[in-house]
Amino acid sequence: MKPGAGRAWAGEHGRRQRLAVLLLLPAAALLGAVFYLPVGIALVQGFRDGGASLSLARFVSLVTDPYILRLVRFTAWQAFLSALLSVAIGVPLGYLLANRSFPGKRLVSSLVMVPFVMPAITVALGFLVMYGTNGWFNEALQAVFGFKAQVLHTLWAIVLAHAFYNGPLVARMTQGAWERLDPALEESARTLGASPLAVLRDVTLPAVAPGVVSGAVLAFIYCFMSFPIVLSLGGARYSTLEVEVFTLMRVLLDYETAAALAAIQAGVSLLFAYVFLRLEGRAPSPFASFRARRPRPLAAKPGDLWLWLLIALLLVFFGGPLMSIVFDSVRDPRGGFTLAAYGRVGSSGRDFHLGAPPLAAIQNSLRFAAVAAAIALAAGAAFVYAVVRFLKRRLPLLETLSLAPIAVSSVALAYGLSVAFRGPLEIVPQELRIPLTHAVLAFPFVVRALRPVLEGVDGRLVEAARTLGAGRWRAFFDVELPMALTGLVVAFALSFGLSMSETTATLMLARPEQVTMPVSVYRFLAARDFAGASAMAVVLMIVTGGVFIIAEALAGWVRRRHGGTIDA
Amino acid sequence: MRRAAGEESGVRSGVELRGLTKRFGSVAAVDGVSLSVAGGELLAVVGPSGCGKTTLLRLVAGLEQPDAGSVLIDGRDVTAMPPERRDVGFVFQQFALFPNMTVAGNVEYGLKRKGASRKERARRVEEMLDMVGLAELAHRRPDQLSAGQQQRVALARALAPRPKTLLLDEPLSALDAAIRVRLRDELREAQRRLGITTILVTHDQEEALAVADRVAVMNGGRLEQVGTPWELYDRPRTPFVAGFIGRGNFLDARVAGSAIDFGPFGRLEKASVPGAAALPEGPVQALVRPEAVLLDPAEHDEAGLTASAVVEDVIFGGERSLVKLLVDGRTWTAAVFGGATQEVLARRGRPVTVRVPFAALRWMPPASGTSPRS
Amino acid sequence: MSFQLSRRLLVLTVAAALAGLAGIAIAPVPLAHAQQQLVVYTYDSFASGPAQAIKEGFEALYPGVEVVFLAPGSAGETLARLIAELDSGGTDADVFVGLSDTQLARAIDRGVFTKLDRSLLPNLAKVPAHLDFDETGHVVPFDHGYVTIIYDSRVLSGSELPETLEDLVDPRFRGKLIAIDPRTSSVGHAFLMWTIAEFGDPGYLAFWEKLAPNLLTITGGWSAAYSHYEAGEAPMMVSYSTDTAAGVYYAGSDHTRVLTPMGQAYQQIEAAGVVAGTDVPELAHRFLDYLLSEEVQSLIPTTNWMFPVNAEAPVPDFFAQYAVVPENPVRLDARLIEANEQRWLREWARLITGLR
Repeated sequence: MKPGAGRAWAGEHGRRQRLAVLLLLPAAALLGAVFYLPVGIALVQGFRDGGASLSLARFVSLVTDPYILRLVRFTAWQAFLSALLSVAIGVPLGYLLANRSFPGKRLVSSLVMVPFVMPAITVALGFLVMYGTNGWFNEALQAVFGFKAQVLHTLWAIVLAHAFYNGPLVARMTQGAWERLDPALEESARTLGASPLAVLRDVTLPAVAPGVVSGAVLAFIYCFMSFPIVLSLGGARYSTLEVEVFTLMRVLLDYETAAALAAIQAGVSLLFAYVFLRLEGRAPSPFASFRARRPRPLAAKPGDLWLWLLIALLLVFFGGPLMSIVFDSVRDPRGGFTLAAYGRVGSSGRDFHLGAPPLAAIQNSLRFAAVAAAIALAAGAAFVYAVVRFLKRRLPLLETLSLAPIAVSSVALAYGLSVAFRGPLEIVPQELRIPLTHAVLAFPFVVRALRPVLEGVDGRLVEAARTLGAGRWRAFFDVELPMALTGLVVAFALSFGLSMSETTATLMLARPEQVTMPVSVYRFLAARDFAGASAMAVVLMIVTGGVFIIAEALAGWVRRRHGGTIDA
Repeated sequence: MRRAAGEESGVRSGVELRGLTKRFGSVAAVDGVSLSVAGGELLAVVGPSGCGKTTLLRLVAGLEQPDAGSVLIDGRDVTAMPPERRDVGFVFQQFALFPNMTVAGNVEYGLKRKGASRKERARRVEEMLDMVGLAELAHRRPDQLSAGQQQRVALARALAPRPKTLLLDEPLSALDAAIRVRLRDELREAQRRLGITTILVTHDQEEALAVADRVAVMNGGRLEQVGTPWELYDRPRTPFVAGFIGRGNFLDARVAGSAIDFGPFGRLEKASVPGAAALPEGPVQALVRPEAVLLDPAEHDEAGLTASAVVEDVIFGGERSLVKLLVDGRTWTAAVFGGATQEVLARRGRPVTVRVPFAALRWMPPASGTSPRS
Repeated sequence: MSFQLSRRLLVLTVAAALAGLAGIAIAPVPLAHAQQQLVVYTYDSFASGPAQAIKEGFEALYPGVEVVFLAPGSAGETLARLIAELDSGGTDADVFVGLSDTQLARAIDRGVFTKLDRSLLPNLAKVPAHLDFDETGHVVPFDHGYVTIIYDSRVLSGSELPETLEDLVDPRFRGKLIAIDPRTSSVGHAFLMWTIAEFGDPGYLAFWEKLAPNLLTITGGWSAAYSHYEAGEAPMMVSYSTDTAAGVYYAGSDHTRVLTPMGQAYQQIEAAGVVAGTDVPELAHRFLDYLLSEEVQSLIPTTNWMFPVNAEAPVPDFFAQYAVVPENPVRLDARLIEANEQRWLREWARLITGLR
């Protein structure tokens, strides 16, 4: 800080510090109780050597084991490839959403996060119909080129499925960053003699990169921890670290080794995250805009042909597996098609659902997701604000800490939670346990979605304080809030969707009457009712999509109400 | 110092717009605008918000493509040319400084893109930052600058590659009042010194009149009038221009046969009013600038229309004050200068005689749709 | 400025909190508790299968008792959770249903079960002695089944079929078998145990190495494997000997057939026990006895696709016709499994991931 400024702010300082602490409190309480405490309980096992003494020997033997090292290498490699493909798919999609208008764009932009909420097992089933030897993709390939390609049971199936999940995530983050980029920056570069390519390199990419990196970091960690997708689509040959943790913890009951391995796993993924965040932290990103981007319509001209092709490709990539699930749900095992599965989903008393019929599962999911999203958004917004506004220098560290919930093995977390809720967290009412856990898991996504937004808003407010006041406040309401809305809607969609799809912890914590939609999907599968499982997944798809459409419409309404007019 | 290049080479220098039209959907933001800006001239484009002035500037820069018409810079048709090849400097309303570059980096950017050598770039950056007085802030980032400093950097950045044309889009509107006037003068001074053809877009007519060689008034996508500040002030061609540029009083009258009915100012024979011969039958309107309105005229003052009024209020303005008058229920504004102010101040609420000299009447063409700003 | 913004933030936070509270408010009120609750931990497909009928039947027999089934995952996962809870000071569970015979030793070592009072289990008399495998008297069997290879008779038939396990490595079956991961699935686990029983230790590794090219994939669970098989990805799969019966029941087709190479298949016996420290030991015993009754046992075939252990329980005709009982069931000794399982699974995983 400049010496002069230091004196000027000295009186402010204490107040700011107190405010920062106050703002960090909800996040600290949430993560501390429902994440760090149970994970601590789980991980401390790794240091225990038989009795009560802490031991590093277990770690040493693990990290020198060539088998474990091979698992680490492969896990990181597939996560890297998956993040790469997610970026390759997400960035063009984000570009389209931020910069171009086309028929049905609002719907696309509302529904783009739907793949993110699909239970892993149903996506695996969808991929089977889509990419299987006799799947749609291969039938088309056969018809057009006369050959079939082996997609399933290869690394590519894993990478494709991960991109199916994380492409939308990267797209939304990219879109958010792109929408906040002031078009005048690109234009002024043009007038200064920069070709479109130079503008892309010098202005657009530096501005959009934080969003892309945000998405990529999440995608990487997500894929690093992935396990049902890997096993269902790639098979045991492509085992990841998480499979090993699962085996140790749930099959061999070797909690000690499992905890040590989970600690190593969390360490590796958080290290990656930290490095990314440090790199990103170097480039300040107040590219915030006063002028809303005016999306250009996609035209029916040759120059836009590749974009139309891209849309078609994305439709097939995301729509294909989703349609496959719909297809699965109406397929009659006796041949032909039937809607009978929906009758089973809609019935009020499928006996194998025990405490809750399928309809109650829908209600449960919606309720848990709403509460979880509210908690995650409130704690996340306060956290991001405190970090961005008062603790900027500690940002990479604090953000890495906030990312931890998705970087720790869900198997280990679920174990820790089931222990913690019987011990120190026993006072937490049963009804809040699942939403709180979901809120914790959603927290990293909320933070990642909100940070660039609040950063942008913040930079402008500082400037506003320096100059006028009133005019800028007007600008904040007219332009910046509507633009921040995209970030808020993304954060909501992410946390809501995450809660809608979470299974590992829910299964661990749920009482019989607390069956959620993905749990119900597993129940249908366990009863060999594949069509019923797919039908429930379709209902999950529709319900979540509906909520996303409503959220987007609400945001659109606010945006229009405060929408800034553009001086022509 | 650089002089307008065109004059030496014989090609007509400056900017020329021919029938320029740009539509957004069904709205014509710019509607058939033809205009020429001479080399080295500073042309200000003014008009209310949404009149198309910013779009016009963006068309010149190549940031928008016209639906019809063409843009010529120094005699060359650049209509189909991308912005980076038009050789223009553009200063945006919010400055649009690259947040990921230092002040020096910003100024250097255009030179880099033009392929200037490292040495040349360093020299030019220093020169430009010296010009705007920010040499010591070269290594700051834009978000560490005040708005006024950012504006100077934006100007330095736009000028660094020695563009043929400088385009300024509301460059001062983001600044507060005190600094605005200072930077306005600095801007004018720099433009004169460099002799660079400049188009300045502003919604502030005072700013336009203060700095421009010529002013173009736009309304609803069309050019209303182009002229020197004095021409626009003294001879506005439309009620819109009259209302937009400077203050004015509108005198409504009615021509009936050989007589003109001036309402509170009485009824006169057409022949006795100089310049009224060509007036059409029916309602007519004349502009009267405040400084032409005489209060308590003496016998020997110029001949004109006379009415009685009441002094409603006096807005003190130092060397010139404005007097609000009530003439037959309508508010008029008159200007008084220097010592006369003291005298008028004492007569608030009292009756007064006003006279409008015939020579001060500026007859407006029949009203054409848009009503002027009061 | 920061004050104004933080106030906006406060408003946002309050709004979010209100939304949260509203969410809780619309939550259904838990039903009034019955006088006595019996908490049963089980695995997911048991919960999806006979559990509801058992709950209703038992509650009708014992008014005032509420049976609560909790199924956090597979049998292994549920047991893991139970042990974790016991280790950290207590569990709600009174009964555990679904322990596989291979897990018994570990469960007893961890003190999961109390010794049963057999006098409270009159129905146990109807269970053949060879199925009542627990010599320590902690658990009783409630159903059993056989893990083997199933095949699509529309694709493979007659002489094309493998006659022994060893035949599976033949190049003509390249990419034609779907296996299941022994680490995440009990079916996969049983098949691995069978190969160890057949080829010995370390002979099984050589077998798997030769088998690997013939494995289309090794899925994480039975559902994924079965859907691949059904989609025609491969004509053979590791599964249960009751699958023909299930195919007839669900899809009216018997194209799925069961192989019993040399009359063999790997036998799984599933057991139930009373959890140590339960406060309703007598009720828990009554529940186990009910589990062994003909009423429940006759449900087992079509709801859990296993064979009942009660010899007097009637089974549906089609089940009797299509469900295959091998002549020479294979089982590994539970103590042997307990002693070597970690090494076997690790060696298997090293081999499989190394063959990529």
